[in-house]
Amino acid sequence: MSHTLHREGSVESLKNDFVVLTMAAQGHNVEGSGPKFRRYFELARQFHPVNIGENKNTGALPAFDYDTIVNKTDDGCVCLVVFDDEKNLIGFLQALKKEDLGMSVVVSGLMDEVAACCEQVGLKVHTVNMSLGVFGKREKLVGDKEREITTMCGHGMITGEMVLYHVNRIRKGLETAEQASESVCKLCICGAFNPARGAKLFQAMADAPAD
Amino acid sequence: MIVDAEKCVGCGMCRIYCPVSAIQVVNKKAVIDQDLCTECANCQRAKVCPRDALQKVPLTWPRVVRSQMSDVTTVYRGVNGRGTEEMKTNDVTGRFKKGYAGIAVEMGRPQVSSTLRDLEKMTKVFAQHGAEFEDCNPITSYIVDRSTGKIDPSILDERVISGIIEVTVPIDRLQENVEALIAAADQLDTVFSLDVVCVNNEDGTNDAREILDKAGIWYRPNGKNNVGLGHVDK
Repeated sequence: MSHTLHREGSVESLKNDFVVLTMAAQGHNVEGSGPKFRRYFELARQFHPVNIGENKNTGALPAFDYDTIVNKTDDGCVCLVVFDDEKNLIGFLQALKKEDLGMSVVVSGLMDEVAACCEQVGLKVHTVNMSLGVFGKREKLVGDKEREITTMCGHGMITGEMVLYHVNRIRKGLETAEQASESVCKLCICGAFNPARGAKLFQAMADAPAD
Repeated sequence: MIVDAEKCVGCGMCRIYCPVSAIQVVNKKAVIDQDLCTECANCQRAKVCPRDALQKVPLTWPRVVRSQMSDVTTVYRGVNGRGTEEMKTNDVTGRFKKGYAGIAVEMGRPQVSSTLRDLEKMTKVFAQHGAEFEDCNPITSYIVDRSTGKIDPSILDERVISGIIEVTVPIDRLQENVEALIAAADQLDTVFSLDVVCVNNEDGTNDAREILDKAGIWYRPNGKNNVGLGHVDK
């Protein structure tokens, strides 16, 4: 359950991190959903998403360009768009409400903030999914700072070692935090990764004193 | 996954792409620990090998379970991934009703991986506490006795990047189940991420949230919110 749920980080760091997902319900509204998903992506475009993706036919930015992802989207896809700004989220929710595509929409983000955004556009949160955290042999986890980046890919395809590798390259001046973020973003093929937040986290790690 | 030793130049670039650290370079050749490898194929998908030495091999039962649960591109019953539509389409399906809560235990997440043997410890906890296993879930299909939570013995030693157990419980048994799961965490050689699903009330309050608050059970400030836009065309 929930590849966008267990994102880690401080409230401050999670403030401008919104993943908006749409999908059809098996046995209910899958047939004919393709054109609605393509419209969903088109509506999102005007609100400057920092990432989009679907993991059935293509993948996500930047591995595929926006038009390719939209054009290849068809019935039964799971479509994600990511925003790093509350105003753009509100604008997109407004557009979705007006368009009434009929597809389920799930917003991942700070729960109280999302509820407030919904209220502004006259939507009510229907169902919530809360993360209670991680239990068990926590000593096996990668470091807290690495996890703020790695948990943005809910399928676990961005590794802690990879994060440290890029932090080292940033420190050596071999790449920028933005380039590092884009590099790991390519591994998150659903498009759930927020490259804008990733760049900030990479920069903060690179600026911190080395262990 | 295997490494074609003839092609491998031992550069080791693939190593950091393995989520479970199954790749090591030994005698200037990459070697994949087949016990640790979850067949997620991330190393190959990343296209970091300059010689295309990382290769998928056809998998048979029971090893194919690793790929089904770990490779992002796997499709199970029309849904990509390890779980179900869960609350994502709840405004259309009504899967989670008032008076009930959903609970999910994602074994091995984040990035520690889990054997199905460890996972079975948690299906057994759920079974002991009256949880109803979600029908359309890959893990449920591996349970041979829902009354005990027993998993197909032939797959217990398989390792997956994560496996999601999804259940529904009456809301008045939510706290009991959550506390039992947390108490059982000590028995594991891995980690799990835990989450709870519940429908909001008309006034925006949420019964599960209130129960967790009252019990002093912490949850993250960020979560998933189905905003109620789904419906079936008339």
